[in-house]
Amino acid sequence: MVTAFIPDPDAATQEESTISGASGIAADDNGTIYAADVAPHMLRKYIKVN
Amino acid sequence: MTGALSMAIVRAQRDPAAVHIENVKNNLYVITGGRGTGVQANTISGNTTVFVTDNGVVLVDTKLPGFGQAILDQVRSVTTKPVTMVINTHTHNDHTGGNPELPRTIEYIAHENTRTNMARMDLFKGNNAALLPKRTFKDKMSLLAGKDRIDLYYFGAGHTNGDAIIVFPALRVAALGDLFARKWAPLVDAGNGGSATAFPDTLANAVAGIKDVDTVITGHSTTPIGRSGTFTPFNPAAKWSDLQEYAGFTREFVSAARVALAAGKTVDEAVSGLKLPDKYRSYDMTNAKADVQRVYEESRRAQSNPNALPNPYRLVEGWPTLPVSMNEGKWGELIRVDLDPKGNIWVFHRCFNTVPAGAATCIGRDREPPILQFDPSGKLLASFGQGIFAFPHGFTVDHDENVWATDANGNETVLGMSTEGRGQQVFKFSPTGEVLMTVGTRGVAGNGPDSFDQPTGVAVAANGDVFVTDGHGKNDRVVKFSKDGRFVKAWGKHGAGPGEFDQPHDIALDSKGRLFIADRSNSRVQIFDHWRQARYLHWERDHGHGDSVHSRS
Repeated sequence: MVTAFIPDPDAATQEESTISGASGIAADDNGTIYAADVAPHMLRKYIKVN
Repeated sequence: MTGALSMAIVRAQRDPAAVHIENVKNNLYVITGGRGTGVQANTISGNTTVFVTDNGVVLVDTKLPGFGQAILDQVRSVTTKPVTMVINTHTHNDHTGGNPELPRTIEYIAHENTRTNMARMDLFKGNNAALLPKRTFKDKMSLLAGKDRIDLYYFGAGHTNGDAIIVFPALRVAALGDLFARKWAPLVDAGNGGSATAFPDTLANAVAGIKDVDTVITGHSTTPIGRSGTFTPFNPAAKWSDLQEYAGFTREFVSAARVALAAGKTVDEAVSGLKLPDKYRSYDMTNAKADVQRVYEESRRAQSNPNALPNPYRLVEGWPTLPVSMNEGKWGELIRVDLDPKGNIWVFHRCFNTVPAGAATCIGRDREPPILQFDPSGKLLASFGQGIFAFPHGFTVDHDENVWATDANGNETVLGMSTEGRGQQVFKFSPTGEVLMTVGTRGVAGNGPDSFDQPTGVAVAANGDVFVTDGHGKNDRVVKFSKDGRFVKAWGKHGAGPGEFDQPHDIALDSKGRLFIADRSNSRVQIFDHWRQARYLHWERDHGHGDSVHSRS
């Protein structure tokens, strides 16, 4: 069951770009999430805040 | 000691439903009690907070209809100053009912959603529409100044979608309204935008976002004894630690309900099987079944609308630090990220290139290293892989910190340049970048034991077995190799049925040995049981492209 959702940072332009935003994902034991974005050209780190 | 005991006896003997004012701190009071009539005869009003400022009295909430004058009388017992301002924590009439009975000169303030909700109430129709809050806020607002300053916060849906938290910074006191009515399974008013699943996040955000408060005025000063119409008193001036505990209770309650839902239990089974830590044993659970039902409904609805799900994550701005010496510090396309056993972060990217869009090539950019390692702070630790890849794609770091990467190139040229025979291979690197092994035939597409058609993903089991999704071409299969690169088996074919694939795009293993395969053009994740059997287990549809999967193994 999906319990949380980080919106696609490229969602606003995805219809036009036809390629996905977040393409790679990893998580550590603390729940920190790392995302590799193809279209937005970004590497992102998300910290769980609660 | 005797005095404290006497006060306790007085409190215990007083009818908890009777209207009564008591001091909380200095110039701050709370008016408790106020039993309703008619259909609300079993309802006791919410607490009214009384803040005596230099220029007048500020009230937080005004009880059920009929208690306006009683509130004014209680205020008059502690000050001769007029009531000048009312803040309503939320829309319910046990917190707003007295508004129309107070002097018409009073200014009303509430969260913007509460104003919208109040406007739907019969209580604020006709002439009383003029009493709707004219000042509203969205996230935070401050009123007055100095020792009289009042901060209003909104942290999200819970009891309703407009629950304001009122903080009196000089006194270190916060009024929570019915976000913390009492210690109980919370009442959630979905009709006014309340949310059972958001409740824990909202309270957690409040606990984290409000500083320097030690006393919490709860929404109510009574706890109903079941549905008997009788009540026990509940201290309206709780501690900050009580709020922290309550936030934890809602978190564990919702989590337990979600586990029950995932296990296929009915609402009744979930409620009867609810096991929470012993520290919550005194909590009133009258609303437990309704709350579990609400969790079920919200969770099911959220599966078809991910945007409605909570996002308990915060983006770390400015992470990582890409050296200026690398493409002037600007990224191109990134395809994969993974962590090594030490917690460092490895990235596989397309040599800072951005073309062709979505399939950027490393051809012509042989000085750029496509494999980078960062520490958790974002500092670059290592880089390698120059001049090897045409189309970086699959990537993983194994248990021995070796780095595995696939080249999914299947073209002889890209952007008018020769791909120099690169592609169709899986590489194993040491942590320092030495090529230890290759699998697949360089530049040759095929479906044999040592060839791929654009390999997209790679996963390595704890025993060293290697799994490759194959891939972007026509093979639509998963291939298994031993740790020394010998072909073991392959399974799958083109299709949409169980065990069939349409562009298997990535692969991950969990600690149980289950394989998770992102089946891209089928928009699903397929799960296979133990890798020795490769037996199809399950699939989950509606995962968008199904581009990537990751599991902590």
